[in-house]
Amino acid sequence: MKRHEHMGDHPKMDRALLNQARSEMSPTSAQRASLKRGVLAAVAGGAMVGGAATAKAAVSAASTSKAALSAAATKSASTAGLGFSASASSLTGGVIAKWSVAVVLVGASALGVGALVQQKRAERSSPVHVAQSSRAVEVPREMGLRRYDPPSIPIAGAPIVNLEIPQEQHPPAPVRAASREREDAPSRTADAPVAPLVAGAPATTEPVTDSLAAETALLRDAHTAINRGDAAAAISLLEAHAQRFPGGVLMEERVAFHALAMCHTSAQEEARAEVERFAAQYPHSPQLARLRRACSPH
Amino acid sequence: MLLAPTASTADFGARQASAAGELSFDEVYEAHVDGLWRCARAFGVPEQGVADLLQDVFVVVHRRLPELECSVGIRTWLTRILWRVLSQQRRTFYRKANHSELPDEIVDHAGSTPFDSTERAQASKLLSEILDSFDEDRRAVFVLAEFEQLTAPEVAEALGVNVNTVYSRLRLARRDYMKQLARLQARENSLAPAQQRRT
Repeated sequence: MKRHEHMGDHPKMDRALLNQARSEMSPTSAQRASLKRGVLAAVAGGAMVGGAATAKAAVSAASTSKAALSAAATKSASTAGLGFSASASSLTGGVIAKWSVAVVLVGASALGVGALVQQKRAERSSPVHVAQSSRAVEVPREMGLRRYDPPSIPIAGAPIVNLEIPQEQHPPAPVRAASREREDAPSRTADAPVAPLVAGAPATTEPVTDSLAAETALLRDAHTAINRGDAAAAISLLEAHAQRFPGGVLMEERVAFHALAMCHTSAQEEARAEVERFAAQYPHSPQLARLRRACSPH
Repeated sequence: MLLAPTASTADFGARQASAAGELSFDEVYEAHVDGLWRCARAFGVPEQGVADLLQDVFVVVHRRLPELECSVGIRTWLTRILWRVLSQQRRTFYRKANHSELPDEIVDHAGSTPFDSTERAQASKLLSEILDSFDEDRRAVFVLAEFEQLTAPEVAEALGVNVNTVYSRLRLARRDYMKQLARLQARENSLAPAQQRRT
């Protein structure tokens, strides 16, 4: 291989193969679209779809932050999630309105759905209990919906402009995310009381400019309503969603949430029928197993 | 603000002021999904795993986008997230790895003829074969530098390693690449001389 002796610059580096392979290794438009759907669903549906990751994130935020917990003492576990996003955005110096909606959703719905049952109890209990029931979200069987454990990227810490973060900060054990976060960043949370946003950050405060954010906001609100046990409100929000976005990207989530809301009403028969319709329509939906569980007769 | 480390923000401080035009998730997704997908494939993640991996990556991206103060280094930023997610979940995403098998459907690239597709499929197979012979670190550097055409400092940032390490890995990877390429081409030629004559 004499001609490769100049290893520094490799004038003979043959890139034809690389160039040819490049387009072949790109996603097809179908793959691209389906991936996007999956991402949006995971973002909007929180624990229902890609929930483990977001649930963990929210949990770690919740357990990191004494401030958030005490602020959340009289609120639901999902407000701890809101608290987290408040701190995250305030750290960047300016709240980016459009995105804060989405980020809030992640935190809220991740805890919300994930801890649907526990949460109702948590709402009426002390901060300690909030923390406990939140942490329970880390391990529940719902997470089995996913074929694998989602990553625990330390979203709360490590602003992305800092590109020198040592790898060691992110050991590969996702389940430990919560405790690690707590060790890593006690001062941050102490200093960034996240209570204010917790109390009042309705999704509609800021004008939503794109339809995804609007869809997301509607579903988030519906979701919060379900968590409150206010199925009627949830259903009307979901119907509003259906009207505004008949073919919206989050249609599947809407249908699933609707069925879920129905499960919380007395119309159990109808709810189960709806779940079955959903099953027929989205036989491969990752939400299906959970929906069935939620709606199963006790 | 406690979290913002002065050292690292200093670099961006100048641009920060003008970075008000924040990117939407859609923009970021559309602009970078192909690159990240390709990258994941080139890292050796099987096609099935790529969708799962990228879903996680983009969920993280979605969540962290508000923190992105400046879109200048976004490719590096994204690659870094990809690499982290992948590193943490390596076993999961590689589980169904079977690079020697090509997908049956080689699809819907606009304007491509079946012949083009076949050729590209062969190229991709060949490349995968070469890359599979690399160790993980060398592979990553090579893919980012040669395939995704990131600069060495960008590669270093994305992988969280020293620039010198990048250069040295890249040098070795290029050498290996050329060796392997020559070997495989010799093999292909001996197997299919007819095909070579076609062009």
